[in-house]
Amino acid sequence: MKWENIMNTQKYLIISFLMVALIFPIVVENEYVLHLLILIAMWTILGSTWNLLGGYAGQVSFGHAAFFGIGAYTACILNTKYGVSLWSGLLYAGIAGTIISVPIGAISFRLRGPYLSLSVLAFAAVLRLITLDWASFTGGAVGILLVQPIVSSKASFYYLIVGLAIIALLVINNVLKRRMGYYFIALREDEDAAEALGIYTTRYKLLALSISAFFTGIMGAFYANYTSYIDPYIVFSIGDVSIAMVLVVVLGGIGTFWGPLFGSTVVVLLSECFRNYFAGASVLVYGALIIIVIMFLPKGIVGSFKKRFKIA
Amino acid sequence: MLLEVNGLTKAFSGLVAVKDVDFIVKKGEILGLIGPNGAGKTTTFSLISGFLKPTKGNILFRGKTIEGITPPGLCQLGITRTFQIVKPLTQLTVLENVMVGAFSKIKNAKKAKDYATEILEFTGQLQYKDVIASSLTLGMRKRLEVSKALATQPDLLLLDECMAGLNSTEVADAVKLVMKIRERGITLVVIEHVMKAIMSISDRIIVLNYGEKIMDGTPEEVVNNQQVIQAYLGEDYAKR
Repeated sequence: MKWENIMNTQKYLIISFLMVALIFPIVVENEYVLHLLILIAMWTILGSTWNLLGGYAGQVSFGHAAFFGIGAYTACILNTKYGVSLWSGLLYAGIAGTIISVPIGAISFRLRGPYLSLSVLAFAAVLRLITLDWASFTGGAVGILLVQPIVSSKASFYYLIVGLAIIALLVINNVLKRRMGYYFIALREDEDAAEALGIYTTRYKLLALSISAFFTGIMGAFYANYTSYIDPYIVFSIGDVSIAMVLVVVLGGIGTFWGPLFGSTVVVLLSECFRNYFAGASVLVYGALIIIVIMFLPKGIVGSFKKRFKIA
Repeated sequence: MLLEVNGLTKAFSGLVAVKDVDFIVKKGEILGLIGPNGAGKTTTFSLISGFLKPTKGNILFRGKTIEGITPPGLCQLGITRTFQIVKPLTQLTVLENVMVGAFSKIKNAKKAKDYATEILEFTGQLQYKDVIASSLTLGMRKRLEVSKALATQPDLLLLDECMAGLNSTEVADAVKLVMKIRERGITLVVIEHVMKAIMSISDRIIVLNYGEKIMDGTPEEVVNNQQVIQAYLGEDYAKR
C-alpha cells in the first residue's frame, strides 16, 4: 500500500487532521462529542465503501443493509454461540458480506441497467425476514445482546473506528490509483467502450461489489459492538442503513474521494441538531433540507466545488 | 492472412443485416469497407469484434475461430474497434482515457501512463492530455477514439467512420494518422463515407449493399465498377 498516493497533494492537511483526531479524546473528555465523532467516522467508511461501487463504478445499490446486517449478525452469532472473539468477528463479518455479495452480483451484473439496485434491495428485505423467522439461530425479533462488546470505553471505540477508517480509506485510495480503479470509472462512463478496450465488465463490477460489501460487513459488526444490541429491523433497515448510505454520498459528492467525509459530517450533525430542536418533526425538516441541498448542489458538497470527478 | 470471414450472416429476427459475406484481411494492409447507409458495415464490425454473435458463418483470426469470444477477450487477442458514435470516457482526461486502453496489456499504472503518453504523442494529442474528454471538439473526440484503441496494442484495428463530420484539414490529418498506424505494423479495416480519403488510403476495398458483398477489389476497380456506381457512388462520381 503506497502511503504517498494519498499524501501527495493534501499531505500536510491530512497529517495535521490525523494528529488532531488522535489526541482529541485525551484533550476533550466529553463523551457526547466523542459519540458524534464515532458516528461520523462510521458513516464516512460506509459512505466511502458505497461510493466505490456506486460513485466510481457506477453500480448504484439501494440495499447495502444486506451486507451491513449480515456482518452484524455474523459477528454476534459467532461470538454468542461459538465463542469466537469479536476482534476476529470484525474480519469474519467482512468476509461474510463479500460471500453473500457474490451470488447477487453474479446474477444481476449479467444484465445492464438497474438490476443490481433492485435485486440488492429485495435481498436485504429477504434477509431481514429470514433473521426474523429463524429465531432459534438468530434470536428473531428479540435480537442479540452483546453482554461484553469488543471494547468498553467510548475512547476505545473512537480509536477503533478511526483506525478502521484509516485502513478503509487507504485501501479505497489504493484501489482507485490502480488499473482496477480506472476500470471501475470506465464501467461507469460507458460499458461498450469499456468492453472494446479489453475490460471484462462483469468481473470488474463483481470486484467492486465484493470490496464494497466487505467494508460494509465490517461496519455492521462494528455497529453491533458499539450499540451492543442488534435486531433485524435495525441492521437490515432500508431507511436507516441502505438509504442513509446513499444519502451521505450524494450530499457529500458522488464519485469524489472526500465526499463521504463531508456528507457524513453534515448528516450526523444535522440529524443530532434536528432531533434536539424539532423533536418529532425532525425527519420532516431533515428531508426538506436534503431536497434543498440536492437542488442547489446537485453534485454534492465536494463535487460542486470541484470542476470534475477526479480519480481521487 | 490475418482475418478470414466465411459466409458471415446476421439476421435481426426478419431483417438480414449481413448476408453470406466472405472476405479476407491480409497482414499489414488497409482494407476499406464502404456502402450506402444500412448496408451492414457497422454490423460486420460488431460481428468481428464480438459485440454481436453471427447467425451463420465463421470468423478466423490467425487461423483460429473467434466467434463467441467476448469483446474484451478479442481485445486481448489483438482485435480492437472504435465506435462510429464516439464513446469517450467523458469525465476523465484525454490521458486517463488512453490509459484505460493501455491497461489492457500493461498492469502497472505508471507504465500504462508512460505508454499512453507515447500514444498521444504519436497521434498528436499530447497537448490535450489534461483536457476533460467531454470538452473536446468532435474532431478531437474522433481522434481520441483512435488513440484509446491504439493503446490496447492491437494487431487488427477496426476504425468505424473516424473521419465522418470532420472538416477537410481534419480529414487530411486523419488520413496521415491512418497511414502512420499502418507503418507501426497494424492491420486496418476502415469504414468510411469520405470517398477521397478511403480511396487514397485503402489497398483494397469491399463494397456492401443490402448486407451483401457486391465488389472486392482495388480502389480503381471499385470506382469503375458499374454495380458500385449504381448502388452507392452515383453517376456523378463516375464522370469525375
